[in-house]
Amino acid sequence: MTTQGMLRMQGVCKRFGSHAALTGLDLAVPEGSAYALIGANGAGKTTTIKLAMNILTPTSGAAEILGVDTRRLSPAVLTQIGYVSENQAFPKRMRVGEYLTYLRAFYPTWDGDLEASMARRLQLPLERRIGALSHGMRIKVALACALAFRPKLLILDEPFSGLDALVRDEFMEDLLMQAGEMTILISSHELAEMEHVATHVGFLDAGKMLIEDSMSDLNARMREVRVTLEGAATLPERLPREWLRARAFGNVVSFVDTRYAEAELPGRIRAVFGSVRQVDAQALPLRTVFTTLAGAARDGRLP
Amino acid sequence: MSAPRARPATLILHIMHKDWKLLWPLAFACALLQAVLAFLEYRPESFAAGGGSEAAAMILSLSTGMALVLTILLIVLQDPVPGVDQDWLVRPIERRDLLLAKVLLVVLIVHGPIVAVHWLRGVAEGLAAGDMLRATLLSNLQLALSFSVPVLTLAVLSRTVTEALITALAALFFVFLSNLLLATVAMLWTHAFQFGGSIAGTGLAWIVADLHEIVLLLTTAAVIGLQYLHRDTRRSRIVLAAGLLLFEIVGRLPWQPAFSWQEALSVDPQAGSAVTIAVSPAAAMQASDFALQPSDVKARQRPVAPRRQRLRVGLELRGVPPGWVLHADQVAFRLVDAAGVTVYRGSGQDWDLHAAGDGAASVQQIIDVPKKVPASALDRQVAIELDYSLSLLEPRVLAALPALHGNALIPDLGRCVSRLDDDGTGIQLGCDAAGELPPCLSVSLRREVTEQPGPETFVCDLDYEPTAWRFSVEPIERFVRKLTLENAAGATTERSDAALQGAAVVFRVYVAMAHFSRHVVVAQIGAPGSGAASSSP
Repeated sequence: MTTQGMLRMQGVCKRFGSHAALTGLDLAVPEGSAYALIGANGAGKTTTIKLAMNILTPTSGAAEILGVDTRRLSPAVLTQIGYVSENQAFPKRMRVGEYLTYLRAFYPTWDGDLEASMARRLQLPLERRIGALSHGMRIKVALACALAFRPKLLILDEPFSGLDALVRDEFMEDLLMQAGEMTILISSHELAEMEHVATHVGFLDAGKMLIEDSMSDLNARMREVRVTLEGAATLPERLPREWLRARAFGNVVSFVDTRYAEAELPGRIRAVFGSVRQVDAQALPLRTVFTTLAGAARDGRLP
Repeated sequence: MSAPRARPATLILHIMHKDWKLLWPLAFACALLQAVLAFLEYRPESFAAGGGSEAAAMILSLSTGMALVLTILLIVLQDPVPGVDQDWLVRPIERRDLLLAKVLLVVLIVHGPIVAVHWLRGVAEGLAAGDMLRATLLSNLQLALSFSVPVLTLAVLSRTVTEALITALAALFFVFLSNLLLATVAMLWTHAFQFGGSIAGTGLAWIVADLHEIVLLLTTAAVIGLQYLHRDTRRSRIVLAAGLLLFEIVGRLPWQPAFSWQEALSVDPQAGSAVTIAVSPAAAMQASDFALQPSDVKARQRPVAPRRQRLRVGLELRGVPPGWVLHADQVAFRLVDAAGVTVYRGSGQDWDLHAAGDGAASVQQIIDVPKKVPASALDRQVAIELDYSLSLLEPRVLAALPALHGNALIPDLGRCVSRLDDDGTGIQLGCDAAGELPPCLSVSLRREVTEQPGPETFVCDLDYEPTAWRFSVEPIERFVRKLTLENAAGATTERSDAALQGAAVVFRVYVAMAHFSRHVVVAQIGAPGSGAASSSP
């Protein structure tokens, strides 16, 4: 396995007893990217992240983070990785300020000014015990703890879960403000938040990577196409495999083209439907991309 | 350019400091409990009452134990090992540093105050500061091995205090169940249902105790290592269960290999070579009333159980050095028929022999067998084969203490004091030793320097462990005895201070010099007129 990329996994499997959480996962997070790991609940996102952080060990396969086998993750490597998780368990009896002070000693690159400014912006209650904080405030504390040492790689595992809209916005704002050259891996099923941040996306389903691509490529090759026919629309028995979620209503046929090419589309449509009155192709929101691909995967029709 | 990471020692102290800030109230509470307990146990001299009632001391002792368990659990559970959500897992913290920080904090918070209060108490009671420090450190080492490390092990297998307590209960239940199973299996061979194994309660018990400690140490080290370095809770639990099972199996170490090892450790193996045992129909048919442990005399005089029949075998012993004690650690017997088939096997009553004069003496060997066995055996002309495991103990005079108002530091015994008791019928003796007292000693009264000392009173809890290996959880061992004043006829008499001027109490320690075996055959007990053994209903 090469050591390119901030995080790479190849053929990773993880079993919990008889349950297979990951079944041959391949993943590559390029340097400088904001990688959105998307999947339904139970798809294996958290397991993937915990394997990356050596919290869990893979049953088989290879995984590297910052060029190091995840099973041999040393403290020196961990000083370059920030981590935020919805389930992160902090020492409840410690005060926020005490905990930040405690962590400072472990990171040679800890930036006290940055810590102070984040504490101000996020309005962290430094004198309160962590156990007494709301979930949203704990996530903010986690973000401050993950960013104050300016990590090379920031891993966020379902960070928006349980956060209200205001806190989400504050969180994302602060995250983007600090992002800089940082590589970000963010797992979530909250797709709206990811849409404007992600440069790369990986769709995980039932422990396998369905599609992994850059957002620009994905946006370029996936379109929702609406075809207005001359007469009443009926779907032919055999449609091109790359056309998903095909529907007909009135004289309109719509589908998601997963190999969209502007120049070729009219010809491909004509080959299936004959003459058409109008063709519209629109970019898809990430949510539709995900639901389309997940549905196709479930039906075994993934192109 | 990034700054270098702090040195491991600094980070270890940093983790300890974090835990200390969270746990100092509990640490102070534990230290306070220790101090109060030490005050309750403090005695300015051996005969003085402690600072509080025994019930209060016991309650406080239990409370202190529970507080210490809680402290150790909480030290570890500030950064629990099992689980996948703890924040420390994603921090640049060496697991080895974390473990060291936890262990050092246990030493500091749990053992530090214990060392301090025990040492202060010992010095305040008049014991030598150096001896007391050594005894306190050794007792703390023992406490760490038998208490702190096992609790630490429970903690590293748990996420919460409740989980740790459930794990402890499960472990105890597992130990009970495996003990029950092993005792049942062992009964098929020994005809006796014993929970503790055949070595328990003998001078060889230290072998099992030491093996237990080794098993415990290896198991706990494996579990703690697996947890901190590999975070493999499932495998750790299997290792713990295997360790506990091995612990129980070791507890059932058969007598013979244990005694063979003890023989190999004899201080003077030749000392027992002259000892012979022969069957003697003429030997005394009254059970000896001499025993190193007074409770043994009562046990020997206990009537035979209803379904058992008692056989008495007269034995003549020679070659025991005068003044030495010969102790039968175990008497294994077999009833063997003419064809050489074992009809029954069991254990006879042990005995002690205090040799005098020419070293010749007779003892009566008592063996109890089920009634039905001799009935059939009589028809088959059985013989009794006796296998003796024997230990020879040499007396050594330690010191003589004035019988009245004596107060001196005696090597091995610590500070000893003496006085005439209130009704004038005995000398009260008390010794407080830093560390362990010798396992077997005697005291006797000598009225004049030129006189021979009177009869000895033994205080023995036999333990053949080599002295250098022996240390207990108790940093101070206490010994209090009344030496009854008797006249020539053996009746208790009253004395005054004036009558005891010049009298001294002689302390002797009995040291096990040799361990050896003897095999004795009593031929054909069923044969009419054999006379070697007699039976009584």
